Amino acid sequence: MIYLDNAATTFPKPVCVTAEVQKCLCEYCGNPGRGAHPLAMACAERIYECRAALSDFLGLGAPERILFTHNTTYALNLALKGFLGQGDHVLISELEHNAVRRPLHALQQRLGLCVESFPVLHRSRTQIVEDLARLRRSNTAAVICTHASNICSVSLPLAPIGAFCRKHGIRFIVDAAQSAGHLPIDMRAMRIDALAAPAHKALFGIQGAGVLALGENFMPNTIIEGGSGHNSLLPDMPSQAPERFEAGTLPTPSIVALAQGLKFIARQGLEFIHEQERCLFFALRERLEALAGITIYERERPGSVLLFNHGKLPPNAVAEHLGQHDICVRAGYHCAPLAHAALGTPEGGAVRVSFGPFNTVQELDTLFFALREL
Amino acid sequence: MIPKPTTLCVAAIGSMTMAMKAQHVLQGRGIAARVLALSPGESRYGCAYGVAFPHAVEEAAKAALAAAHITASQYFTKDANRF
Repeated sequence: MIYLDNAATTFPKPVCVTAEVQKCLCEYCGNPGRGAHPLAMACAERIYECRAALSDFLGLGAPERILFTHNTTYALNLALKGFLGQGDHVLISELEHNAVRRPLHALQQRLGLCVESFPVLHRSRTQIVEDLARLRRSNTAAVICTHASNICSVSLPLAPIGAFCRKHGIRFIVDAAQSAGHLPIDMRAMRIDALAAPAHKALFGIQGAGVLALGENFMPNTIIEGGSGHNSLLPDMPSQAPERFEAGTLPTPSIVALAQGLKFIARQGLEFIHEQERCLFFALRERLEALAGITIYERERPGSVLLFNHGKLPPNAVAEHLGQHDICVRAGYHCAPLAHAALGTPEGGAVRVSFGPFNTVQELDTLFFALREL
Repeated sequence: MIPKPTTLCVAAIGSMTMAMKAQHVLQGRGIAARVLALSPGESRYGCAYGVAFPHAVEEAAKAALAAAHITASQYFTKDANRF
């Protein structure tokens, strides 16, 4: 089987990740922060180590501001619904995933939120900031944007956007679902107030955990309340992060897996991973362009994702054909209709190929030969 | 052989995460420290966690925690032998 859907979830996982999950479940998976017996403490120590590692990885400098959620979507909902209010105005990029679009749409219905998008395709860093300045209003509460698109390898310049937001007292919330583990992130330098990321994509953890990293001086309201492991006599959630936002039992196996995923990335090197993905992008682009009728979107922006369409067959038919050759890709709108509209894909969306560190050029040859049959 | 401390100082921190952070801060300064659950009466609102360290280094530990912006709701001593 050839797996080329790493933007959905990375597969396979590094051996260190799967081994740690097994070790956790067999040796130390108590409930962290629920008691002080040896298993609870062993677990709590490993959870803290993961927070500390993520804090370093994201340039946050505060393990206690790393919150664990169920996934990126939950993390984004927490960040957005925890602070946006009646009649607020927010700016989003034209490439946003439904994990941003849908919570904001719900808030539009409930709170009269005003959502406006800013262009990023073929816009320079300076132009993006100029667009933001033009669109900014007195009631602009946040700029919310993806760091990297999930359907092409376009990434946004977070540092100048963050600087703009900080200058104007606007919160800056980042969806790093497709960039954490691909591109360097420094929350303090980029002036990011909240950043959401999944454990199970390019951080090489397993499904079941996401991360919301909170910048200094950003403390949204809670959207979920429940047991927190301490201050049990109080009816309110604790006042301090992270326990304030982590009601209920944490997904310990997913978190310890994430910690191992971070170690894997450290051993491989982020730059090496990124360069490997670029090489695969160029290799696939070269092969696809040898076939008649193929359209590649944003072909000049190499990275971990390549989006294309076949001249004659709809995307789902192409994906089904590839699936019959045991090649895993995803076709359709990829939960990102705004991004597809911005790229101008036709009805049905497109076929997405997304690379991981275990993919090879030989696998892309197999993909090429399979497509040539069409 | 290094004698074990007979008296411990406990900083009542609150959450497990902050107690863990306190432990790591103190260990980073060469102070032996470990997280423990606080007993009833040692915490105001029920279940809570603290960090214990040798009473002999109380001032150094307090300074280290303050430098890391870790606040303890109270400090108290415990007999290590009964702990």
